[in-house]
Amino acid sequence: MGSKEVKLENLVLTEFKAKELLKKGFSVVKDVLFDEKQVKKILSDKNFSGFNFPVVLKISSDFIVHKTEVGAIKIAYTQEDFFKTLEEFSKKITKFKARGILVEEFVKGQEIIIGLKKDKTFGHVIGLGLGGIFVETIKDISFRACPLESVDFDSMLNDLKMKDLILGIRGKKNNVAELKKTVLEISKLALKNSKLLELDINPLILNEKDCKIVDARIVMEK
Amino acid sequence: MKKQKNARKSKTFSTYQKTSFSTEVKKTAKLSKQGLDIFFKAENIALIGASHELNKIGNVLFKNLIGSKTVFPVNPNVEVIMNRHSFKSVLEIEEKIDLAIIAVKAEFVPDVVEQCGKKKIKAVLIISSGFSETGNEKLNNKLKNVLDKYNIKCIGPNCLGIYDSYSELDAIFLTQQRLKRPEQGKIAFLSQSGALGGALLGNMADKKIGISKFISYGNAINLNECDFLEYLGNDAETKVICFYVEQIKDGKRFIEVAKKISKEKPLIILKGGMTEQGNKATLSHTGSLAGDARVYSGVFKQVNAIQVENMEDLFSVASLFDKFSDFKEKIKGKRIQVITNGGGYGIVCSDNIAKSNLELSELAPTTKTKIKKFMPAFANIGNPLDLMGDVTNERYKLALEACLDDTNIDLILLVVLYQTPLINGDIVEIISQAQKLRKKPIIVVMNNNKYEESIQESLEEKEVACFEFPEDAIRAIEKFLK
Repeated sequence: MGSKEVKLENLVLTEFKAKELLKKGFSVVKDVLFDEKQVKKILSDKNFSGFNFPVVLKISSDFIVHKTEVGAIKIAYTQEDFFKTLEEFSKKITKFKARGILVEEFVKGQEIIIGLKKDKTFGHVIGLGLGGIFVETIKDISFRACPLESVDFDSMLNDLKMKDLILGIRGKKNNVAELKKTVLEISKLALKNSKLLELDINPLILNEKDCKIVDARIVMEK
Repeated sequence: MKKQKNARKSKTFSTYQKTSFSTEVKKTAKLSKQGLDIFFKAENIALIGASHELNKIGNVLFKNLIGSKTVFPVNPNVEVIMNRHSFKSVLEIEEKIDLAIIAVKAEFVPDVVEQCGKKKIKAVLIISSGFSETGNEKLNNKLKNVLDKYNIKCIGPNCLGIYDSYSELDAIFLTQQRLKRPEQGKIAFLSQSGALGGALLGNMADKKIGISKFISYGNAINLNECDFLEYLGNDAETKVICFYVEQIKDGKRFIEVAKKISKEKPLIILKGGMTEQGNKATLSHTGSLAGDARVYSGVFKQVNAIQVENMEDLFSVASLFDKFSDFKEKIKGKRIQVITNGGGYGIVCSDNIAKSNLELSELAPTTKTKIKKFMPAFANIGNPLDLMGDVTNERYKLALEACLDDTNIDLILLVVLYQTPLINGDIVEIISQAQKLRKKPIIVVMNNNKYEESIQESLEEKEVACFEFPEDAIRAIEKFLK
């Protein structure tokens, strides 16, 4: 998909705006957006602080649907890495009509997708499954209609073939309670927003401690 | 269970003679709590589009209805239909009419419904097709407006009809010769599709699975699946509900109604149109993954309905719930004991159990001791329990008794290959008696060849659950014990 597919009938909120909205009620990875001017200053001063490495750099543009496919996302493991990638990305700002470069903390854990869709029959439905590349490859995702109850989360998790990856393997116990809370909060969000057509939280990173939104997209009815 | 058939026969024409021209007011259906009783317990029925022409829908319906109901044929083009006065319109009928069944050309339907409205008929069953299903939205809206104007409840249009084995209402437009009706029973069958509904009714009749009500609801112009499910949920004559659906009309209400019903009655659903198309034009992953199949399956789980994958399972699972409803609470586990007289069948059974979410039971030592006493010394006592080719009725009996008393077992899968020489027809009684003890469900797997057919039929007469193939049996058990 490219910019052409972003139709005007509905309002599409890509990562930056979607996450700004979600920050109000959900745990989102720590990030900061640098506009073109700020990027130039960082590059000339060679001065960047406030994050532990590694960090993730993303070109923040409403015209990019899949960042990986157009090379608009990279991990920087060192300062040197960081400045190199920032320089590379800064050259693409105009091309992608980007608002700037987004720098995020890098969170390690299991990638999960939480999706929301307004279904023509059942109204808002929520999907839970393995995120990242697994979404398109194994399509291990289970749905329930809103409002979701606690038992619905348990049973949808139980539907997943790869549920053990979410629960945690090799002695690790992921913070599933926090994941459940997030899913139930998304259900409440849907109830309050009838114009919400689609919401992708993908990935959300789950580990033993955290359950954090890394990327998101929202489609609203205009 | 089978008295209904005979009752129908004896009533056929004499009923008509006695009641058709009588002016006595017959008891009319209650309109109170059970809203849809006005359809299923209707006594005075106007058949609009009744026909004297053999095999026309209006003729078949007429014949099916007059067996047990007072039928007023309506057809302005003829004077007499099967020796009875044909009314020009429902407005000519003096008696109160509970239900109008309409089988005229689609274009005439709104007008005859208008007449029903004037006659103060509150329930219509519209068999006719040619409405929204063919894209004729204009006619559809016209019909909808008339129904709304007179506040008439409508089943259909574009449906096969309805059937009630208790009130003996047979408003299905297929002849009783070509489509055998199932016996009276406790399973209700709700079907969006008429064709599939008809086919399955025939299968149920063949398999001696009893039915309470059958509803083919077609386009659901005003009453939809939720109204029917709610009604069946409250229906004392229905214990198990089977539902074939392609598209649910009112999703939100469905969730509410189905959640409530499934607390009391098993709700078994076959969803047609499960291809995973999704919406390709969507912008999000969720949008493209949330196709009908995944969303419906999720919702069915959410409401505690049991989703099956094929037509056969719809009724085999329902039949297990029907036969063993008194066990359901007692069964705590999923441990299956296979008893067989053929090694290969035993292996196929255990393979399928291993693949399912069921477990193979472990015979208690005391059970093993009991079994060893009547088995040849070299026999292997375990699971599957192979009673071997020289098995006798007696050996089956003793094996069943021992396993029924074993608390390590939740359910018995009994393979009976009737070809082995030392068993005979008395095996039916042995199995039936064992089942009557109501200690554990016993489910029989029996090859369905010509020689064994009569034995299987005798077992089914005694309400023993029989399957032809182990995999079908195990799939049904898996859904039953879920």
